[in-house]
Parts: sequence; C-alpha cells; structure tokens
Amino acid sequence: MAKGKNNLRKLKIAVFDMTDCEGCEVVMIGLREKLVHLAEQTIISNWRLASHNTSSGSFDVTFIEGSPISESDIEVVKQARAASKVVVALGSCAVLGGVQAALGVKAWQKGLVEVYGKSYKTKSKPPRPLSYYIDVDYIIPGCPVNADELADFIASLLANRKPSEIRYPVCLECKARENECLLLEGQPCLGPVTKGGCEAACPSRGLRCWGCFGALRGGNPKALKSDFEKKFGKDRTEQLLGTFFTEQAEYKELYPKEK
Amino acid sequence: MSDSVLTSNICRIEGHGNLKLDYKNNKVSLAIDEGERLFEQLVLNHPYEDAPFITARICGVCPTAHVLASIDAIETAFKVEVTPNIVNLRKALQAGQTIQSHALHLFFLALPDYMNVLNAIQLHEENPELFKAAVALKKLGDEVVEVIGGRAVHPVAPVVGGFLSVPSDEKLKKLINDLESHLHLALETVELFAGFHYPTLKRETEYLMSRNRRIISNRGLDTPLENYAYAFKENVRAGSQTKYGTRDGHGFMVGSLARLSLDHDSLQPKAAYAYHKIWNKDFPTFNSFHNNIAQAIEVVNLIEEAVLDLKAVLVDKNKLFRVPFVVSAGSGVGAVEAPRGTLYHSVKTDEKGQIVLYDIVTPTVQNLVNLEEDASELMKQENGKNPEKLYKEIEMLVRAYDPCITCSVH
Repeated sequence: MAKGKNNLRKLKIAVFDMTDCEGCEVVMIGLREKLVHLAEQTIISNWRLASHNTSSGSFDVTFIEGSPISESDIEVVKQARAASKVVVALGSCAVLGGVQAALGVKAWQKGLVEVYGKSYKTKSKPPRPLSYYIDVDYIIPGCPVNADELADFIASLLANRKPSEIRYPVCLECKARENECLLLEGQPCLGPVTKGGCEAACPSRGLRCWGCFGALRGGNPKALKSDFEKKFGKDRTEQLLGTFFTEQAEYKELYPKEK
Repeated sequence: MSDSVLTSNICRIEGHGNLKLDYKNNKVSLAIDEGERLFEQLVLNHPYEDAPFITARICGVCPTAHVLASIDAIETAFKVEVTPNIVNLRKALQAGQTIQSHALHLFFLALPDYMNVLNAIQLHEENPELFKAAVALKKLGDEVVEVIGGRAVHPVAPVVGGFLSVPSDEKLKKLINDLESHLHLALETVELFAGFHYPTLKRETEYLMSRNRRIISNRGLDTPLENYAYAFKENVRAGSQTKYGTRDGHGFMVGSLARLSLDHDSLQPKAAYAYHKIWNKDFPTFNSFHNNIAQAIEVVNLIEEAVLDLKAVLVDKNKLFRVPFVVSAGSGVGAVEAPRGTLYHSVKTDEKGQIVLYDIVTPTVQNLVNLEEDASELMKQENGKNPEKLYKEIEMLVRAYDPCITCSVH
C-alpha cells in the first residue's frame, strides 16, 4: 500500500469525463500549484485529459465530470460507480445534466435529424444528470465549478472531514458584495432560487444569475415563477427556469409535463 | 478485429477520440466518441442575448472564442457599430483566451511527448523550473480573461453591444505590466519547442484563415465570411457524432500553423524575431508537427498585440464600452480566429430578435480530414518499420493538431 507524508495511506483519486465542455477540468488544472500539492498526498489516476496513466481497479474517490450521453459514457459511469468508494459529481453537467438537458427528450430526438439528417443513427441517450444512472455521494455544482469551493472540497477529503453543502442563495453572496440588485432593475435574475457558492460571479459583473449551481433546497421557485410570468410571459419564464433546472425536482413540480 | 487493424483511445486531447490504424491499406481514421448535445437546436426560439451564454458551454477550453463569435454573428445581423474601445478590449480578451489554450496544450498536453515524461505533474518533479514557466504562462492567459471577461472559464462580461462591466484603469495597467513581464517566458517557450526533434512529414495542403471578414487560403481562396458554407463542405459519417470538413473532397487546415503560413508578415517585433531568428525556417513547411512551434510563436505575438490593444484602450478619452442598437429581423455570420482555427457562428433572427436559425462550424471539424490524410501519409512513409514507434508518432501528430473533439461535437 502506498504511503504519503506522515505515513498516512495515500488516497487514490480518479477523474473521469463524460460528454461536456471540460471546463470544470480546466478549473481543476487551473488550481496549478494546489494540484501539485494534492498530487503529493494522493494517487491521481485515469485522468485522461492530463495524463497517460490509466488503471482499472478500485478508487477511494472518483470525480465524474459531464453528463452521460453516449453509449460508452453510460457504461463508464456504471463501472466507475462499482469501482469507487465515493463518487463526486463535478460541475453542472454531472449534477444537473448541463444546459444540454434543457432541450428535453422530444426536441433532442427531433434535433438529431435536423443536425445530422434522416439516415443518422445514434447510439446515445438524451442528456441526463449522473444521478439518473448511478448513486452520487457528493455534488460540486457550477458552470463552471468555483475554484475555491473545489479546493476546499479536496482539502476536506484529505482531512477526512465531511464536505459541507451550501444552504443559502446566490443573493446572499451578491448582497455581501454590495452589488445593485439586478432583479429590482427588472432583469430575470435567478439569484433568489439558486444555490450559492459561486461568489456571485455573474451578478458582480452585471450579468443576471442563470441558475447554474442548481435550485436551492427550500427555495421558493413558485413565487419567482409567477412574478416572472407577469413580467416576461409564460414561455420565456419556462425557458429561464429550464436552462439549468430542467432535470431537478423543483422544476418538475412547476412543469410536470415531460418536455 | 483483424490483426492488421488497431483501434485505440487517445489521451491528453480535449474530448474522446479513437484512432483506427489500418496497416494493410495505410489508412488512419479518427472515430469520435462524444454525446450529441445539439447546441444549434438549444438556442432556437431563445432571445438573441441567450446565444453567447449558452454556446460558450460548447467548450471549456475556448469558451471566450464561442462567446465572441456568437456576439459577432448577432451584431452583424443587427448591424451594430461598436466603438474602437470595444474592438480593442475584445481583441485583448481573445488574445488571453488563445494564450490560455496554447499554454494548456503546449505544456500539459503536447510537451510530455517530446520530453519523455508522462504528465505535467511528473514534469514538476523532474524539471521544476520549466513547470514554473508553464504555470506562469497559463496563469497569464487566465488573468487576462479573468480581468476583462470576468472569469477564466465561461466569461460573463462580454455581450452584444459591448461589455456589461469593464476593469478599472489600474487593473488594465497591471495587466499590461504582467503581459510585458512574461514576454521573455514566451520567447523561451519558442526556443524550447524549436529545439525539439519532430518526426519528418511533408504533405502539401491548403491553409485557411479569416482576415478582415474574408476567408483566405494559400491556394488563392478569397471570399466573404458569408460564403463559408460554399468554401467547404461538412460531411456526416456513419457512426461518428462529428462532421468532417472538406474542400473539393480533400482535407484542409486551420489554426496556428495555417495562420503563420499565411500571415507571418504581420507579426509584432518580438514574434518576428522568434519566427526569423529562433525558429529560422519559412512557413509553410507542410509538416503539421510544427503546429506546436506556430502556437508558441503566436503566444509571443498575442502578448505584444494585447499590450498595444490595452494601451489604446487606456489613452482613449471616449470611454464607451456599450453601444445602443436596434433589434431587428436579420442574419449574420461571425468568425473568430480561435486557438485551433477559424470558428464560425451564423444566426438568423425574427423581428423580435428571437433566434430562428443557428449554425456553428468549429475549427476541429475543419481539421479532421487533413489530420487523417497526414496520419495516413506518415503511415505510408514508415510502415513496416516499427509499429510501436509509428503508433506513438501518429498519436503525437494528433496532439500536434490540438484537436478539440468536445467542440467538434456540439
């Protein structure tokens, strides 16, 4: 068994990516020196984007980025689950299905014909979150994930501490930065119903919140929906809430009919 | 599978691809294994302002290029006239994007091939100085995009009509300083990559790039951007989720090597020095492995250009970074010289500005057939010698193209 500093057993970490933009892995590589520090205390394997080193076998912690769409994606996530003690969904594609899930099953099937022609045969399934196929132990949402939150999460793992989940909305982080409220300015900002952790990255630069960290547990999307419908109309409201929330229970409660 | 065909997964590239080597017929093909996300369908019936945000998610390595190409298409459709300040700030932002992407590719994906290490972490153990330089250049690109775009991956500030927010003069001044102080590292990177041994390969091909809203090539192509669908064809292949671009049935190449083959006369002074004195060979060399060197020279050039762009922003007294415009029915093609080549976004809107048609052609789609033709040529040259060495060289060739399969299937 490999030993790290202080004679502790080294954690074996795996990184897998499914169909997605790989932006969360880019954030992970962007941890730079911190990543090297992490590498000293762990064995990182199967990170296809970063290295040649691939191994099968068991992993202590497996990060899975992206939404399972292709046949091999779906196969790999099941294998990864079986081989891992802890599975972490990395980023909003893994956690929520990503923006690609907003299309819905019917439009996705129709879209294949539009893009590839009538004779095209796919082996893929419509985009879904990781939890549609396997059990997930922890989530790190975000499109992309927040670098500090990711670093904290990894630090918690190494310290054998349970990573904590954020239970407040984006608005809290936005107010703490003394930003002007975009919702009050009449913009369709999803801050009040979206889980925080992003440090209000978008509203701090003048862009409304799109909800990429997912619906806040215990939020009131119903109230926001009726407010939005008056201001922006029903169709637009469905689009706005659906960009990242489509596969979430909170959204399905508001829009029970399958897309 | 017969003995004469080998299929293998490629690591250290963006996205999932499998190489298929047919030893009998000297033919290499690249099969793609990615799910279909259908971004062109995702933005339909959305208001125009959603397109840059949503299409950024095609690629986490070059999201800024997608944002800027989308904005360019929409602004062309609406006939928006932006100020020189907006143009300059966007140019600097795109420079930051390409520096990020080139640094990631050169040091983290390509370099292990030439220095006989497995990955960047091993590089850190064996050559910490070089690792430091790699990290510093990647960080510089991140910083440019963070300061101007608001975030290193998936920028938030650029929108149709300009910027939602703009960095203070102090931040721009610091950025200029940081860019200037990294120029020597970029030059050392050219030295490093010019010193590597590259496999021999020579196969003449056509290089394309966009310049002043026209598409040009080394074989005389010179046509407006709007004609991109006539300049080349996108072909669907059974069993592959990407399309494959061809011109008159053959491959062509876009990206750093294409740009430097067509446009090396307009390099900035230090980049011109790197090209003439350090590299000291004339492009086109028709050896696609040299794309690595072209990327390294571009990093120098982009640092110099970004400094000029940002200095122009600082002296401009008319600080207008957001212009008003009228939403209308229209169509427009936008293009950006993204890290891997010309990226096209094309949009059609109705009178309310809702998107009724959207088309995206990524650089990798344009490069794939040329890559296969190069790989097949390499196989013909070396077949029978050493299958292991051949396979390694073909994998190195794929990486030299810096393909983004994530982008190619969108």
